[in-house]
Amino acid sequence: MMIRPKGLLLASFCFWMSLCKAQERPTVWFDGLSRSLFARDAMGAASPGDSVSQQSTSAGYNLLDLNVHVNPTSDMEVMAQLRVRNELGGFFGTGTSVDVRQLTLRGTIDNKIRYQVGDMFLRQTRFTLFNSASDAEELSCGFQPYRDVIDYENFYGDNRWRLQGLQTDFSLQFARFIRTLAIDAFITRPRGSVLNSSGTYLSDRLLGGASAVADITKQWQLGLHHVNLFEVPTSGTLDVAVRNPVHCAVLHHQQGGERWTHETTLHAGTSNRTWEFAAEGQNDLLSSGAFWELDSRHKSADSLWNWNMGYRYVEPEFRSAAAQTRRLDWSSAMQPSTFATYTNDQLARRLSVFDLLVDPLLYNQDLAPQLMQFNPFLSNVSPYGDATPNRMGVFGSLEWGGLKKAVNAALNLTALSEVIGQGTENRRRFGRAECQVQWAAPNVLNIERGVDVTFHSKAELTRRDGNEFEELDLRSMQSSMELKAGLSDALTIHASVSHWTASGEEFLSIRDAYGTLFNFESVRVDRSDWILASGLSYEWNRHTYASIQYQWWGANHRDEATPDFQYQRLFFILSINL
Amino acid sequence: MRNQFILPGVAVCAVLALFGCVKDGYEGPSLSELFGEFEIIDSLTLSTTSPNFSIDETVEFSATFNKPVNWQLEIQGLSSGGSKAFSGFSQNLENGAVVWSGTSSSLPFFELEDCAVSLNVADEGAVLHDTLTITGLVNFDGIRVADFDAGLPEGALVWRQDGGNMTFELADDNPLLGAGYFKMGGKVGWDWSLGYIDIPVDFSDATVAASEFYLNLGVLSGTGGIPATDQFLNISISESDEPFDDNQANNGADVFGAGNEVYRHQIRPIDWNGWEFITVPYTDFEVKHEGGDNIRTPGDITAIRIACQACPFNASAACPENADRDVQTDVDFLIFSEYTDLFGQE
Repeated sequence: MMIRPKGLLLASFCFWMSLCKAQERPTVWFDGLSRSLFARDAMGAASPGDSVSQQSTSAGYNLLDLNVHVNPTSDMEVMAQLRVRNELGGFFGTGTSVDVRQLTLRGTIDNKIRYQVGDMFLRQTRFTLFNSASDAEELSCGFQPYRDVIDYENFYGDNRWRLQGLQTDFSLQFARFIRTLAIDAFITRPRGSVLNSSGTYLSDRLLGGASAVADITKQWQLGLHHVNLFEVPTSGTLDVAVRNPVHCAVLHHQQGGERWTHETTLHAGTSNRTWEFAAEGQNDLLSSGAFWELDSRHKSADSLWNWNMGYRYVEPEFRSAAAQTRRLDWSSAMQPSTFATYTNDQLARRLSVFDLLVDPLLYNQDLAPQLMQFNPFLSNVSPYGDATPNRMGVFGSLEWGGLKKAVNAALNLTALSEVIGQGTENRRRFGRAECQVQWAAPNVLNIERGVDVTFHSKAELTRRDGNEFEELDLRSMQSSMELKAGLSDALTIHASVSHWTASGEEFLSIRDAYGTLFNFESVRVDRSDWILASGLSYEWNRHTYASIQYQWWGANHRDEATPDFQYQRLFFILSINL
Repeated sequence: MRNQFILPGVAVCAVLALFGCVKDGYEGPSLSELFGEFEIIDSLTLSTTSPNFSIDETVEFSATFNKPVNWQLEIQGLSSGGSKAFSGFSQNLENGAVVWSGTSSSLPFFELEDCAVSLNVADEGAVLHDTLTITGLVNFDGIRVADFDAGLPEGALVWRQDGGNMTFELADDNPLLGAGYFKMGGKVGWDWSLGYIDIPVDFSDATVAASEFYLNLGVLSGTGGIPATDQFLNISISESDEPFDDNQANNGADVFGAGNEVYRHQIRPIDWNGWEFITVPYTDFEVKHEGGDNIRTPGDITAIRIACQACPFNASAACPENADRDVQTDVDFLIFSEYTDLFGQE
């Protein structure tokens, strides 16, 4: 009897499946994401003369991230994310890559202690371990697909840092004194020992931490957090290693009433950063700082109103590597991925806001013990998030959702100043006002397929008094607006306009390798970036959608030495959550 | 309701009063000084204007300004065209901050010649000038393996193919440094290898790590016309403790064969005209043959092979043009330096 190949395969499959079931073999299941992306860029009609550069480019890729989950037992899971990526235009394996993108083992011991080994995503408080949003991502009406790509490619979910190591957590319940106690601890290695271009081995860089959060009563909660970024000198050939322990205590009080619920949170903590030198006679460099923040939040029972008010004080020497590391490091050599040079003189094109919104390769995933450089054009008030050193002042917000929840409006205000001046005893004063309004017209007009309007605007002001060398005045304004009209339940047509502008003077801090401020660079900011976009989207659900857009973008410099530029892009994305 | 506001309010006031205070003074240098009027307090001075670097004399430069500035000091050889540059951000150059021992920042090296010295403070539009005369050339720090000034290194073996226009000999018509150099070139159509020179060495005094141990070598090419396609130097370093050349039947030394601990680095391609100076950290050498402890240890190095290779015009359809071109990968001044490459030395 001849067995046909198909029949043999089917018989084998049935055999193995029955074997799996009979012996309770591991459960295997899959999920993941698939994405197809295509972008065609072209010079705009108003671009300066450029017969040297190519007039248009196109690029794209298809990728599949397949998450393989294996449950050897009911309380254990092994997850591997395999990426298959094929650049558009690649044939017969050319341009195709297969990578293991994530590998994690997680489970519970005796149904009480959770653990995970491998890739993990960690977050503590905003002052100890926190991945603050980048300057450009805050404002991106109509750019959700791009933001999805950037966050996904850089593992930026939920303000967490992607790290590799070991983590465990468990909680205890008590009969008296305190109600529960949750313990969390981890040790990770953000950087392994690597050989740099100068032939020197950099040391292993580790990040360890622990949290203990106790629910004392139903109203009171106390949390103690600790992280420490440190290097192991023996794993490299450098004669210097850094240690940066940060301690933080969080006292939280909440109370609910008939009309309002109230929450008050007090953060306080300290940090030390030490550069330890191996050479005898060379003293270690130590900087110590502290911070505290009081935040009072209030929410109406009908959820119509939310408001908060608080005060924050962060000393100039407060250093928390895992909370102050930026997504965008402007001290690194970031270059545009499209049209990196322009004009017949082949000038290097400055990064525009559009580049920052669309290019995931510009973003950083590595924790750094030094403060990264920032760009005052985009953010000057809190460039390192809430943990920005040398800031003190008040902040508050007011949020209202009314008209049958059709309108959601939020206003954030911040007024800060420096704790100590930089280069002068006069201190900078900072102001920021941010406003966001979302109007879902269908609910108001009782139309099934209506119009959604989103408006987002942020203004920043930095001023300092002093003599002709000290005084500064920097103002920036960022605004974006999007209109979305539903053509059917899933199909929408949308248009958006975004505008960033800044003008004034500022001094960038120049620090040495150990973070010591030794010089200032005077910068004059006077430019504006803009983006117009329109397109169609079909959304099966939040993470499964197709979108085609046409975008016009450019920058206007008031500096005559820097010509303006203008480009266009046709963009298509199909994202499928498996 | 009222209590909910009193509690945080009182807390804010209390903490503000206790800790929320500004600090006196300021961070960093004074802006008024940095961006204020620039003055030269002490002009550029040299500790000597006729240094003899061969006896380890050095030149110390000093100057003082009224504020920290970005400065660049350059010494330019008026005959050789050699140059050495220092730069920094400080208020003064003194206390041994800028000391020159006669080295160069790039090729060419300095000769016995007059030099122009300039201290440029570009942001302030100020330039200070001086001159000096080199009366003795520098002895570079490092382990000098071969300078070819007085023949081949002791114990060196040379092997070459029987090709056309083969050189593999000492020459003195165009040395990089000193009086002589070693020519390696010719034309071989059937094989990649043209020939090599094997040099026994004793580096037992070297104690630095491989990452801080640099090979420095001058390479000359293109003086006879267009360089041959894909010509390169294949440098092997042996840490074998076997005898250097027991087997006389071999082409060259024994310590580079299979079973010996050998590391390799290729300078490829050599497509320039004139001299270039190559520096490579020992960590950039890859394993050629496993043996010994397989750990790059400078102190264990016993031999170096410099092999001249090129794409053959008969055996490879890729390089027919090499039938009309002579390979040229001449070498001079092979020296190993510790902690920094030769151009990094002050």
